[in-house]
Amino acid sequence: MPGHSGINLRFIILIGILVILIIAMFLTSEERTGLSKIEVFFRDLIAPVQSWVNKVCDSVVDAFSFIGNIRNLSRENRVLKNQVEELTYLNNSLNEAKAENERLRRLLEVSRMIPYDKVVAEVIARSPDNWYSNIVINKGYDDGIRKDMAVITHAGLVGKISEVTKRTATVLLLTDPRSAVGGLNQRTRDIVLVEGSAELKNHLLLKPLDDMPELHKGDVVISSGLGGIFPKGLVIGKIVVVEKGDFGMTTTAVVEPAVDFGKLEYVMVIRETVRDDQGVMIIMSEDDGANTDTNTGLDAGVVNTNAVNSTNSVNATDAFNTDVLNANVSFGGGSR
Amino acid sequence: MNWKRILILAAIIILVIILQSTLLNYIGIWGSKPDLLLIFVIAIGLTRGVQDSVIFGFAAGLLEDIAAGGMIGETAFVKMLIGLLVGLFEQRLFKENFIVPACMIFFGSLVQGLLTFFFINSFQVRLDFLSALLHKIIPAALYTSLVSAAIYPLAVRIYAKIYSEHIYSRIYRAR
Repeated sequence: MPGHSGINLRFIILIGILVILIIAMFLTSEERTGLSKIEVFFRDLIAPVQSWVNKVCDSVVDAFSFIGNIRNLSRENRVLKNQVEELTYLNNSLNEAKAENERLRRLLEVSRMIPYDKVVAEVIARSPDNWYSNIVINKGYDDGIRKDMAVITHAGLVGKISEVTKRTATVLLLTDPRSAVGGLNQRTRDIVLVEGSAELKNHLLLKPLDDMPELHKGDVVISSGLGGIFPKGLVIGKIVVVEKGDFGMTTTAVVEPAVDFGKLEYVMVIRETVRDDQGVMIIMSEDDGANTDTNTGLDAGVVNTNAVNSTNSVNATDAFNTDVLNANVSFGGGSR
Repeated sequence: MNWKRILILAAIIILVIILQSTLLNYIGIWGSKPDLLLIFVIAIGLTRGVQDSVIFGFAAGLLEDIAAGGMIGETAFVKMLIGLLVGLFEQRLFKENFIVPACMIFFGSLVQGLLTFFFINSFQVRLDFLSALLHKIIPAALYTSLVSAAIYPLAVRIYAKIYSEHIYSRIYRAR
């Protein structure tokens, strides 16, 4: 009967498509070297609209939060004034530390200052589902972005570039369950693995590689540079919970990331990295050669700390320089 | 083939995906956001029948996969299957009140969550089932069915407009 054969044909087509989809899943579930042309086309097509809608949403949220905050403004003003005083003091001591760092560096003759190349990008979208932790940024292949480049903010490590189109790129955040980064306990220099987790919202899971790790609440975890993707010495986060497994044989910890992944607006992509003698990726500050006025970077850093959600990318860059420099003071210097 | 209708439906899918990746981030609760595209798939299943909902679910899922940056085919599979199930049940359901679509959306979202968990678990990374259920699948299902109170009638009206040239259309009107 024609009716029956029609239904059968449809059923076979349906099963065929479902099987093809499972094969497609299998083929695309691993990390891919590049995106297909269709994916690149589609994402570049929707990127401008995503960017625009995000801007509109941001301004609406800003407007509402401004109205909601008017009452708190005077209190906040008082707190901020105190903070300015504290930060001015901090600024001075940082200047001292910076100068000291300069001297030590010259003494040790390790200041092979190779400027690295970075680009500031705006976050234009996030993963449309609840399972992955991705962001989409408005810089892509045309801006020199390539797969596996490290992405950071002034606060620390954000993630790595997982996919690139002509004008956008997808960043796999540290919190994504597919993400794993080689880390270093800053205090003990123990090498650890920091993984994203679907269960811990906005927190990371730390797995030590040592049998008897010495982990304490409050320990700062930095990137080890050993994975070959992330430069050494970037802040990943702070240990907030240490958990002993059954029989005390295993220890894991929960790390609170230094970066607030919920509020990412601007990020920086490191387009170039430098390796040391042992092949470990390190970050070099370009501050030394280019910036003779030592106050500029630090001032910008302080201003930027006050205006937390600064949208000025120039400020963000300056603040970043300062932070990397500080990171070198505390991490790079002490590591060897 | 009605090319105008296909183009409008494609535009709806793309628009919803854009909203899903931008606007909905601002209304997320505990890291979960509603799945508007699923509401549109179920709405087309309950008003237009199985063939349209299977094709719509497949296309919507595939475009979402392309935009999301995960596995290609996973959302397409899940949304197509949900389109099929809803489309098959369509004729046996009493759809004149809101409870039926809301329940369908809740269970559809649960099925989607469980299948997504299964695929991610088998092809990508191991996840803990209980916490995925408690932190992702159930909150998303609750949130999606809640939001469907506003979005489902809208979707039904949009479809009614798009399909209005059909004389024998089986349009379920929201009111």
